[in-house]
Amino acid sequence: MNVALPAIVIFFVLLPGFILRTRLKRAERTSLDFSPFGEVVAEAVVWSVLVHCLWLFLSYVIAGQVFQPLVLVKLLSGAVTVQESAAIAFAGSFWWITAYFVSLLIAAFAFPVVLRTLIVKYRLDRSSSRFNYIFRFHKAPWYYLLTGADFAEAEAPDMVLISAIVEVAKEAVLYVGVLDEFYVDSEGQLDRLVLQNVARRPLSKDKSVVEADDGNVVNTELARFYEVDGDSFVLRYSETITLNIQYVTLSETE
Amino acid sequence: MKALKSQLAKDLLADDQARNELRRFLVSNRSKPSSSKGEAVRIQFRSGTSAVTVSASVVPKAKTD
Repeated sequence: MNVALPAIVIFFVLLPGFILRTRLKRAERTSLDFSPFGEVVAEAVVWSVLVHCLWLFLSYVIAGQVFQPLVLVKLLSGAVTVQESAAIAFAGSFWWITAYFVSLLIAAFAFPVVLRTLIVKYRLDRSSSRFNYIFRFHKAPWYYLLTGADFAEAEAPDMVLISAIVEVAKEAVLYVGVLDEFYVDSEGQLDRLVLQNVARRPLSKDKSVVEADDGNVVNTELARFYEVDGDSFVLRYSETITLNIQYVTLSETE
Repeated sequence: MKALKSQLAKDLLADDQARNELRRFLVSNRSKPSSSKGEAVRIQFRSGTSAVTVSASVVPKAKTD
């Protein structure tokens, strides 16, 4: 059986960069371009270079292990005779190299979790933060719009109201409710919204006041809306004509 | 993904009567002119064993500059 040793070496060298990139970025689009010179691969390679530089430095400082580029170059060579001497050197430092890659892979999993937690906790990514150009997840616009992540902690509202016009039986219907959850598809488009406490009315009944029999003007808004039964109302974004988003604050009073 | 919803909002939505009050606020908010949309509406609900009164109001979106 022939084993493409250079391919395996490249895989292990680049793997930490891919893991780190995937777990660090908050992107709503999951259908990604993995072509060799695409954005994803380029970013992963850059991350790989950075984390290997850091890990090699730590290996040197902590354990006195010095990186031997000649061994790596020989392992990447296609000639079996050249690979042989590198394989011997690799076998001699097997446990060190194993410890290096295992610790690096664990760090590539754990570090992004810690960093993302800190970014979210201290809201370093919100639009008005001074660090937003570094920490903002630019590929997650719905996240910022629907989770209130752009608000300062003290100013954060309590809930998001959704008003959506949906065509039902060739008639435009206005749905109003409190947003509970939202989902995006693999292209990063909003897929569906889960609403609570929903009310609806046909858009054609758009007047808010009418004159009663006794001549008084009365508000008929409540009468024209009617409650939608159920705990969760799922609204498909593709079926909405327009979507309005509002933030509501609840302030405790005595 | 979970949308923005504070614990206070969850408590409010768990109370049937407060849900109706909130719905009234939602639909009446639609018909008011934009200048009066910041008006607060008082809603009372039970949170655990205590009664809580909150004023609900629509706020502008976060500053993006």
